[in-house]
Amino acid sequence: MHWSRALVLVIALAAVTEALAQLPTYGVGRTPSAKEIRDQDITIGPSGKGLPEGRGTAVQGAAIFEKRCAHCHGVNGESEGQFPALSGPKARVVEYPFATTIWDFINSAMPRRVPDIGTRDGSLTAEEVYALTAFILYRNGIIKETDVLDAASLPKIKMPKRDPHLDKVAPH
Amino acid sequence: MKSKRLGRRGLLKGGAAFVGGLAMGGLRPASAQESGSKLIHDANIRPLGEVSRFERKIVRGGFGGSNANALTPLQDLHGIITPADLHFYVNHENGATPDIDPRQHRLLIHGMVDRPVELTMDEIKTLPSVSRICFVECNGNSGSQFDKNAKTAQDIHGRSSCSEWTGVPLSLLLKEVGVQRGAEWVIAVAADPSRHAHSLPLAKAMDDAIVAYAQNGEALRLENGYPLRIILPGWSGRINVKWLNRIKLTDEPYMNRQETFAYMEQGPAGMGTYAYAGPKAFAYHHESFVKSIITFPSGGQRLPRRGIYEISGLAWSGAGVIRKVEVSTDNGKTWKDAQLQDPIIPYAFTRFRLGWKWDGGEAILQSRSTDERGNIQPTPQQVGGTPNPSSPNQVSIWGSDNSEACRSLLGDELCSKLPVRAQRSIIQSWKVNRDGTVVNPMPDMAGIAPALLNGAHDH
Repeated sequence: MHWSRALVLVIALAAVTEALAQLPTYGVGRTPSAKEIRDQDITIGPSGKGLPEGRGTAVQGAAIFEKRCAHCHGVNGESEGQFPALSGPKARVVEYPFATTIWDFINSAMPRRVPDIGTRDGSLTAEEVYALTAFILYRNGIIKETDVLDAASLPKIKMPKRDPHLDKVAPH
Repeated sequence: MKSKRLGRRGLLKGGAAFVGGLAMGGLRPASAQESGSKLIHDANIRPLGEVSRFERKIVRGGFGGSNANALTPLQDLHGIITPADLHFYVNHENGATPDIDPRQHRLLIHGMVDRPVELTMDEIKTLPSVSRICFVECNGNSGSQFDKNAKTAQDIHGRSSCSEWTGVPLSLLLKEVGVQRGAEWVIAVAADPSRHAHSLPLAKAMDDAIVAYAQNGEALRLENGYPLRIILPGWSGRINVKWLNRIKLTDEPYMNRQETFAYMEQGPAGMGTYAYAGPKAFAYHHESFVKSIITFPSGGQRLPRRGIYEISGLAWSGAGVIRKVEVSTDNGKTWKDAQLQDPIIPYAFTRFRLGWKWDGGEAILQSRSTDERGNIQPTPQQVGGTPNPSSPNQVSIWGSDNSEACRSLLGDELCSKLPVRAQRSIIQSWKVNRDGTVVNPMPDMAGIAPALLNGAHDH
C-alpha cells in the first residue's frame, strides 16, 4: 500500500472513531418534539433569544396589573405589605441589571393566588407579560408609557444601574 | 399518632412545643418526657425506625423559626452527616413545597445539544451513578452572628448541612445529549411555583456536578428536592437547584431572578461586576467561603461542672479540603491546632476536636479554619476594617482571581482585587460564663462596620 493511501485510511478511521465518540453511550430517554420543548422552554436570558411573538405597552399593562397583580403588589405596584413593591420608593426594580429578568420572572412565576401565594393563579399570555413588564418599567421611570415592548425592544432596554462590565454578558 | 413512625416532623405536626437548640448533647435528661426505661411491645416489626422519646426535641427551627427557616440543629449532632430529616430548608415560596409524583416527573435536556432528550426517573436510575459526601449551604448562612436574637449554632449557622448524595454525574448526561460548540452555560430549572432557575458554568457541570435522587442512602426528602436535584460540591445552596425538571444548554448566563438581585455581590465598580466573570467563574460568588464553628460548648448549652471537656465542632469550605482548624480558649490570644477526624473529604463537613480544661472562669472560645487554598477565617475587625469604598453598606475583604475568564471580562486590575463575601465567614465566638452557661457574645464593636451589625438578612 502506498504511504499516502495508508494515511487516508488512518484519517478515515480517526474520523469514524471521533463520530462514535459523539454518539450516546446509553441511549436512554425519549426524543421530545420541537413543540414539546417550546412549551416547556419558558426561561429566557439577557440576549432575548427565544422570546415569543407579541407586544405590549404600559398603558395596556396598567389594566392587567390592576386585575392580576395589585392584590399582592398594591395599587400601581406601590405595596406597603408583605409582598414586594414594584414601584415607588421601596421598589428595587431599577437595580435589576437586565429587563429580561423582569419579563422572565413574570412569565415563569406569576401571578399568584391569595392568600395561598405559593400557588399559581392561572397564567399570562405573552402579550400580557410584555404589557406588564412595560408597566413596571414605566412606573420606575425607565421607559415611556407608550413604548412598545416586544422580542426586539425588550433586550435593548438599558437598566439604569447596570454595571458596564456586564455588557459582555448582554450583547446589546 | 396515626403513623407508625413517630418522626421529628410528626411530633411537630402533633402540636408539641417547638424548642429549637435547647437540647444539651445528652448532658441533661429530657425532663418533659415520661421518665424511666421500658419495653415496647409491638406485635409487628415497625416498618421504619423511630427516634427515641428522649431525643425528639432535636428538630429543625432556630432563629426566625418558621417553615421558611428550618435550620439544622448543628449543636446537637455528631460526626459529619446531617440526618436527612434535619437537613436545613430555606423556602422562598411562603412554605409551598412541591410534592411530586416521580412516575410523572421528567427531566428535559435541550438547548445547544445535538440530541434533546426527556428522561423518566426510572431511566435516570438505570444510568451509572456516583455517591459523594458534601455540604450544601445557603448563601445567607451565618449572617446573623451579630443579631442579639441569634443565640445558638443553629440560629446562626444552621443553614448548612452535610449529606451523602447519590445520582448520575451531570457530565454523563451532557455527553449523552452531545453539547454543541459555543455552549458555555447550563440553565437548571425547578418544578416549583417560581420555576426557580440558575445559570451554571459548563465547566462546573462537567467537573463534579451530580443530578441526585438520593440522600444518605434513601430518596431525597421532599424539602431537599424530591425526586431530583442538582448537587454542586462547594457551591452556594441556591444554585443546587431542587425539584429539577429541565436543563438547558446556552451561550449566555440567564440572569434569572435569584441570581441577579438579592444574591448578587457588590463589586468595586458596582453591582455584579464579578458575579459572572466568565464561564469558569469559580473563585467568588458561587463558592461557600471557609468556615468553622464550635458546636460544643456552644450558645444555649451549659457546662455542668469544672473539669476536662472536649471542644468539638465543624469546619467546611467551598474551596475543597479543610487543612487546619485552630481553637482559642482565650479570646484569640493563643491558638492550638485541633485534631481533624478522618476521612477529611473535600467539600464536606470536617469534624474537629480539642481537649480543654475549664477552670470555672469566664472564657471566650473560638475556632478558625484554613482551607486547601490558604483561605482563613477573618476576625470581625479584619472584615470591618476594609469597607467597600463604592458601597458603604457592604463589607468586604479582598481576594483575587487570575483566571483567563476573569481577566478577559474584568481586566487585570479588578481581578486582582475582588470583594469576597467574608462577613459570612467571620470567626464565631462563644462565651462561657462562670455559671457554665454558654452564650453568643456581642463582640467588641470597635472597628466593626455598621453593615455587619445590621444582621445582613439579605441572602
